[in-house]
Amino acid sequence: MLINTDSPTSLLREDEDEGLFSRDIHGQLVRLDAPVERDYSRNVTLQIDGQSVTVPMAEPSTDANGNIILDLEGRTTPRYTTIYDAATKLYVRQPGDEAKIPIPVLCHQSHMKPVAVCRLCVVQIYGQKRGKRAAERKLLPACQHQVKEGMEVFTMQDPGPDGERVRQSVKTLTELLAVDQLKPAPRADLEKELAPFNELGRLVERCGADPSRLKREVFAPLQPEAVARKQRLDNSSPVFVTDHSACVLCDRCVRACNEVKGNNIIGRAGKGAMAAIGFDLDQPMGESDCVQCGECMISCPTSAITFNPVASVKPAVKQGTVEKISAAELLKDPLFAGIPPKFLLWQEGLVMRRKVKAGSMLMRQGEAGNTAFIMRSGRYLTTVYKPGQAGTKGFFKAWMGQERKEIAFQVEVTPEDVIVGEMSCLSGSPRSADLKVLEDGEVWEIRRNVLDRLMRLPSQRQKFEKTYRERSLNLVLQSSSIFQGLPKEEYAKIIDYMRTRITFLRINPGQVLFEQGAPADCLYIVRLGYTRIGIRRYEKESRVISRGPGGLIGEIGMLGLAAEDAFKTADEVERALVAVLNQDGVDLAKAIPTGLRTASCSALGQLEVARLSREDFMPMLREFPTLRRRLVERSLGLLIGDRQTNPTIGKYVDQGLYEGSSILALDMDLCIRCDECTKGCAEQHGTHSHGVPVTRLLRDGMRLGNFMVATSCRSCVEAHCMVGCPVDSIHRGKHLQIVIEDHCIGCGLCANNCPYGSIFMVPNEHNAAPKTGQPLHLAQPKAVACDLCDAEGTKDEPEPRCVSSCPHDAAERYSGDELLRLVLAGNGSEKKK
Amino acid sequence: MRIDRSHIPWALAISAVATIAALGYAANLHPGQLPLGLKFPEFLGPVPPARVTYGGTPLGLLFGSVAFGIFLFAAALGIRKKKRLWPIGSVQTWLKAHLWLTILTLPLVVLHSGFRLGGPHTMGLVGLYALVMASGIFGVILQHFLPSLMRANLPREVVFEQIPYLQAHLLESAQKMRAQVAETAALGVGGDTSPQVLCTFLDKECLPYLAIKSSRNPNLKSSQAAAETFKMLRVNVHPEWRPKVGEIQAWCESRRLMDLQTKFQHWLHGWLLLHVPSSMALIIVTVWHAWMGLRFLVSQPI
Repeated sequence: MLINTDSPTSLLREDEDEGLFSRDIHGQLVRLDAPVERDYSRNVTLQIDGQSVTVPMAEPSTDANGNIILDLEGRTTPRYTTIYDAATKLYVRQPGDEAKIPIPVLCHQSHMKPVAVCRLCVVQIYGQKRGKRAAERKLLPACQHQVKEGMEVFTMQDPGPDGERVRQSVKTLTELLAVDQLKPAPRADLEKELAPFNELGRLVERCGADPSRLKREVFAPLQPEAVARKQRLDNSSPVFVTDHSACVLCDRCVRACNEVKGNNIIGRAGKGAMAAIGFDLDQPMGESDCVQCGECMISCPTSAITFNPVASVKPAVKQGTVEKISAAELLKDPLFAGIPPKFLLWQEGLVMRRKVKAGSMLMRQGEAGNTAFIMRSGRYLTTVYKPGQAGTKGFFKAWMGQERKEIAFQVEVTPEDVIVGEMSCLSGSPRSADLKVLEDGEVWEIRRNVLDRLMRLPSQRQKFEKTYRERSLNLVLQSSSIFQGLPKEEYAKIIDYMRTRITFLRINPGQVLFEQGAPADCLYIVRLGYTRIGIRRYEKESRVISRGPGGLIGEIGMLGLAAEDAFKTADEVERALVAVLNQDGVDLAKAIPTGLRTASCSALGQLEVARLSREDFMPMLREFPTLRRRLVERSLGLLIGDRQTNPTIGKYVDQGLYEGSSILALDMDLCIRCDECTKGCAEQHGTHSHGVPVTRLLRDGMRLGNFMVATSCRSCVEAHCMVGCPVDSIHRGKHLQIVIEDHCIGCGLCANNCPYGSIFMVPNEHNAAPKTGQPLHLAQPKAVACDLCDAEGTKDEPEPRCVSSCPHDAAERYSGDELLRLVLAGNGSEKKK
Repeated sequence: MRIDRSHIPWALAISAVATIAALGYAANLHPGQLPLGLKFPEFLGPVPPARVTYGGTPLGLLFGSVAFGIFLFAAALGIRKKKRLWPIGSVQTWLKAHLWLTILTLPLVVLHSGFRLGGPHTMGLVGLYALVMASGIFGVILQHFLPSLMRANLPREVVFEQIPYLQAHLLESAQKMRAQVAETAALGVGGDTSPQVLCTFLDKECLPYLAIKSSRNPNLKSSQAAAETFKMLRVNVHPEWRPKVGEIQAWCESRRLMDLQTKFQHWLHGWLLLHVPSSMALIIVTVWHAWMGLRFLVSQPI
């Protein structure tokens, strides 16, 4: 921000404190203030290589996954727009255009905070100095330098002398880095598959650099200690290899570990010629607290951190031909161009090519969906059935024609739509539609972690989010009981009405949506996740309920109802509403007094909600009388229900049982504590997964009524554990249970994410270091969770051994609802059978 | 195993078989009294039986053989429990069959014996059988009632095998606190006697209670007595020391619950120490009994 100075004398006076300030190109003192929200609306026009581009002065800060960072009040944090952002806007028109940006980057990645240490993104900047066009004395890094009005930027693409200056600088810098740190791939097969193997090598090619002209012998030799330190090869980890001699100290691994993953293991150690990255207190990687998530390796632009072949992804053959797509082929595709090559090499098999025949089904509504499909050719039909009507019913029902599924909507999709199936892939929820092949074609089936990587690229994210939003709107209304069964015409009108008015929000766990007593300013519909609704009475939380997908939140306050209205009739309330709604020319949002929230609501886990503001809600009540009536009836019903209190429901919510779809509950009136369930579990799974028998359950846990909920995977409806698995080895099985594949690298992220401690990290003896007689026996851990004894999906119904092993019929698997119903009925011993 | 409605079909089936067996026995001994002109099947031997000991008659042998078969089947439950993955029926059905078929052996054995105890050998056998049945029925009763009692009396349970480690951990925590409190007591700051009071309590009550395998300390053994003891202790210490009292109380409460759980666990499974060896002995003696009986039958034909 410019400081207004009335006269040059004031400027001189301030010079005494110049340590805190610096001068701008006009010679005036500037102070770098933090950007503010109003900078979003201030536009700045600048020129890059002669092309004009207008960008906002600031943009909202995003996290590593591209989600906008919100504070506790839901406000964004602005950050200044950089020259690199402006160049991205200018050159990236569609996904894959990132390579067209004429500013090379090495230490910068779009999902990380810029640190400008490599200086490869330098550009020549011209501005106005004392009313004249003047060049900046130094080349400045585009990844960090903020845009200013009237700024002229010259990149290495510019044919003139400024471009030449930039080109020479980038070339020399690249040569200096490459002469010492450009190493071949650690294994010949990798170099063969993808040459050049790393980003530094690619940069050498791009700049036409010749590192061989810079010989290290020219310079003073390093101290032997420094040489030894720089040339360390750390292969203490069974999964990754760290070659310090190839490290360019770009800090990408440091930011990946600390900012992206929040593990805080990697940092800088030493200084000067001794500077290197270090794990914990400069320990070898395998002996540090590193969780081996691989984020540093993927982020590393050189061969400094590479991988060992530990386990490969097994392709799931369903139908048609399935073929792994090589990293080299993927990188040629514009869609995958921005994904780090090492990631694609490390996890080959995460993208599969499927040739599909007309008439075949790619996915079915209600099935587990762990992958998304990128349509390359062919035509496809998406069919969404009304809730509760989809799914395979069995031979006889289907044969007898009893399975009459009512279609909610159908839409044809083509390769122009790029992707389908991404909703369940990202959220871990069951498929929300059937997908039938109409014409022979090819699809690329991608795993969740590949989709996550694609979403990190701003251009891809924009495209996918648009598709996601369009599809989500229909589904969110379909899943809500209030919108079900409406006449088709009215439903279509509601969809049209909401399309432009509804917004989707992602809420972090624990974040409060609203407090009891606050003015009701919007209506929420839960799209994914669960909310905790607590009703306070006499300073005590007297009732707690949870609401999941499709649940409406805040309708009572929006209708202006309060607890004392519970005994009014629906006709009475509606009559009063209609009287106001039908008045002409009034501002409805003001004509009807704003109600107060009758409960507090917060997110129980990751939550996605659709939000409709009060200004849009009121006209909707006038337009759609059937919907209005339903809302009134529902609100009155809830108000009556709010007067009842039941501590069991509070416990049920607090223990997170609402989200379990297969909870192992032991009836403590029957259980004789013989541990047959645990023994049966260990015996059933044998030594296949870990080399030693490992149980998937602990006969210990919290109680609800007569039941004890054992510590065993509950197959949560919204699986917390699946979020962020670096190798996508955890996903849903046939019965929507959680399955951990053999290519798990043991990073422990899923175990940390599971709020119920149901995932155990157990040393994998198949992948253990050879026994050397040392007291410390190292084996790479591998996650283990209950897969309902059907990881392969070969059974029609799951037959968990824990249940069948119990001689006393005490163990049973229930959904959260079933368990609550049993406990409330007080007949624990009357099993669901 | 709780005896609930799911056992009704088993009870009815066993009653029916027992009734049929009793009718057969009656028909064999008193053929003239059979109703509706029914006749005793000829292949089951002469009517009335020629032998004095009923066990040696064809029907008596049948009763004895079926009972012996049931003994063997009942013993196979142990194998079934070890071989969990064998597809030979659910373990729940096996347990119910074990329970009800062994109850069926009661009428069968009585009918096989012809309501006589016989000589010392058969008396010993009957005594062993009675021991097996009594221990088994005792076990059923325990397993019917104890789980509910445990649920009601143990608000939290721990993994049984972990109890010794957890108890050692509690003791260690108490000893650490004792050392800390003793240090403060040695300083004697401000004439506060609370550290001494706590030290004395730890030395005399808490540490012995946590250290001894099955302590009988009357002040801490029951929850009521413990509550009173700690109430008094709170009164005797300065308010700033009361959180420490709370910690000690929690340790003693955990220890009390673990002791109770151990006791319940022993009752729940302790009867097997009698039931299983006596069952094995019963099978061996029954084999001996069958061998001797068959030899007698062969050596002394009618």
